[in-house]
Amino acid sequence: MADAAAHGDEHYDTRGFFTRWFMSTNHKDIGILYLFTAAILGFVSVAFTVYMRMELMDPGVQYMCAEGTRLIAGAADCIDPNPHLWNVLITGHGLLMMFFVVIPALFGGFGNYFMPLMIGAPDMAFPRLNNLSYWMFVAGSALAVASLLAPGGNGQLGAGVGWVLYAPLSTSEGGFSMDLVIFAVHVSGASSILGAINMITTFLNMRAPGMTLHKTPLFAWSIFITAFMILLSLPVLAGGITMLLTDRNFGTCFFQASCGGDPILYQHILWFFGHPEVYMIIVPGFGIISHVIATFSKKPIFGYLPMVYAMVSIAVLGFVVWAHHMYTVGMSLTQQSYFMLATMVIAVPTGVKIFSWIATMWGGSIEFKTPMLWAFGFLFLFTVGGVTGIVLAQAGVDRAFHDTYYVVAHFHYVMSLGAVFCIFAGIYYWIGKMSGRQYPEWAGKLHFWTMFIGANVTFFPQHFLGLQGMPRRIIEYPAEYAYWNQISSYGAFLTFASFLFFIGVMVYTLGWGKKVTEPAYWGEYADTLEWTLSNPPAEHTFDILPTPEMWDKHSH
Amino acid sequence: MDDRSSDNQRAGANASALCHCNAYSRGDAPSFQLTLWPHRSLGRKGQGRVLWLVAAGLAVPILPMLLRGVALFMLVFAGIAIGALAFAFRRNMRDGYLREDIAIWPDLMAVSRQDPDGHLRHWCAHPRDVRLHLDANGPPENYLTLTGGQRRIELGAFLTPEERLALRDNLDEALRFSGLPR
Repeated sequence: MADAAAHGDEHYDTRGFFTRWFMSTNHKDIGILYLFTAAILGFVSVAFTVYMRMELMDPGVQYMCAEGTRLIAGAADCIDPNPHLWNVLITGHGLLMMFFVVIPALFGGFGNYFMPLMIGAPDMAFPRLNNLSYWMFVAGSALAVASLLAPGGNGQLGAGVGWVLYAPLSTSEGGFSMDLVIFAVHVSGASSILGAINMITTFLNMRAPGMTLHKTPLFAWSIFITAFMILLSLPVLAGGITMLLTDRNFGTCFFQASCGGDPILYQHILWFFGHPEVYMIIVPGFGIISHVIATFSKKPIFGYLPMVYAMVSIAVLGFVVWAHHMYTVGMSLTQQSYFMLATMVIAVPTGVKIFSWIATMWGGSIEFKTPMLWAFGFLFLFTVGGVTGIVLAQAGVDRAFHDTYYVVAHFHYVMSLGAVFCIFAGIYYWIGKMSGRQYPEWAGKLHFWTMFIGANVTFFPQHFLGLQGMPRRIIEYPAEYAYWNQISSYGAFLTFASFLFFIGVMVYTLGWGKKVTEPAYWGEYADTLEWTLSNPPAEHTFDILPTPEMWDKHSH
Repeated sequence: MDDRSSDNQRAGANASALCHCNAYSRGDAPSFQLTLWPHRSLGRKGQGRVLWLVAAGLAVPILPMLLRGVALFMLVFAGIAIGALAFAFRRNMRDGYLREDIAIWPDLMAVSRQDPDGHLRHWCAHPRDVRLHLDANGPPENYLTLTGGQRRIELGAFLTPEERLALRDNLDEALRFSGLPR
């Protein structure tokens, strides 16, 4: 049967670049696509902030002039400032970061790549649906970017209503830019729901035999919990923005007060989605941090079950605290008291997590490799953001802080210094696994320290500005706020420089980085299933079947 | 994947699945037998519970909206979401109704595959002619095929790459020793 043997050898990978990356149904390839797309959109979004920080560096308006947008400050201030451009930039930054950068990177990218590997599933439950989710995300991103360049309000390009799209601002914004924003959120929402259904089915139904729910690694759990939150909250948002769309285009009166609508209703709908959204952003990060801390403390994670149920209760509580974003809309005292107390309850499961991470490190043999530095930075700064969160949760105090830079500082501490640090921790932790090449350790550390210092210099002074009463979302401010704004801008430039350096590190690593062949290159405490595979998993084989002993090495 | 070689005495029960190659008329038990199927970790009951949980979660924001008479769009999207999840569960279970039965006698190797729609396909060859091919790069990764019969067939495309590798080793051993008296 010589011809049969020859016949069998014909099967090899003949896929071209286009087929592999554009028609991919492999969860690892799709995960990588998500990461790269999120990185590109992240760069756009970060570039906006640099321009905004340039504008805020000095009182007065130097760059965003109605008579012409400048990149280099002229000799004098603008004759006529252009606040619409400012509004478009804050809207674009918020929209891109919330919907198109952080969730796709953590949930779509790392979730797709590592969740099936960790639970021993062959692939996602629906590989082609996975491909559809990714391309819908790309379509949504394209719509979001297009909205920045489409005719909008004030006779200019783009919609300047803020990422929350509050009515009646959004119902009365001119042009069709606002409609593109709504479509962008719709399409990315549909993409997220399909992705969430895929993740839920995979996690629940495709675990390896013997891997019970209470043995599933924390990162896989965090992805599952995130998927559940997406499934429960995004239909509500989709309903809300559809009502926005009909208000704008079909003469309905859901939110337009001038014809009997209720703009506060929109805020309730938005934040019913919006508060779980911030947990969707951070929970996969919790998962990554747990693995990183256990790996580099050379100890199994402390309190596996409390960690799981802390994430579950954070997710559940996330659905019943939404109105703490809107204390000032005129709710009754009872309502405000409830939302205040419910919000503070979230500190309990979050405290359980922080405690367990510290307890994992306690008595461990801690090694400050780059991923651990990011995890450490996350732990400290997320806690700082959490503490200002408790301050803002007080309905009375919030009267003073609402819509000030204190809020901006708070949510950038939990998201820019929380979620983004998790993304970087994940990248440095897994890049050897994903690419087969390792970054230079000094470069990872330099990136960490510049970003750590830069981000703190950017956002810590904003607490002071908030305490002084500087409102958010303004292009111009009185000279009294100039001092801390200038320092904040220097921090932003340092952070941007660190981001550019990171891009350089990534290019170097993927092209010329040192090859890593050892599967568990972080040592034996990186004990989830992906560490039994070669680097990267698709190119080599390995010779043992996943067995309970492999994920039970350090029994939880 | 499950090794059922200990169930040799039940070989007759699978006879109809192997009919094509006179395997059914054999009185002797195969020296090696293996059934492959995709693993599903959540039962029907579990699926029902998850769907109820999602319905309850979605009801929290929608009930108050219903009272104000503005819940139409939300009901539509919530319905789509929960319907899509139910459909995904059903589809995933249906995709799991897949069996590949492998049996090896000293002079015959028979593979029968039952598709999710009940369709049965058979393949057989003499063990001496059978060759195993494993393509590490795939796609899919560790793609396992058999030649030696009328046509080339794939095995265990629904398993994890690692499981296919182990399957190759199991089959390799079984084929090597198939001719020896037990």
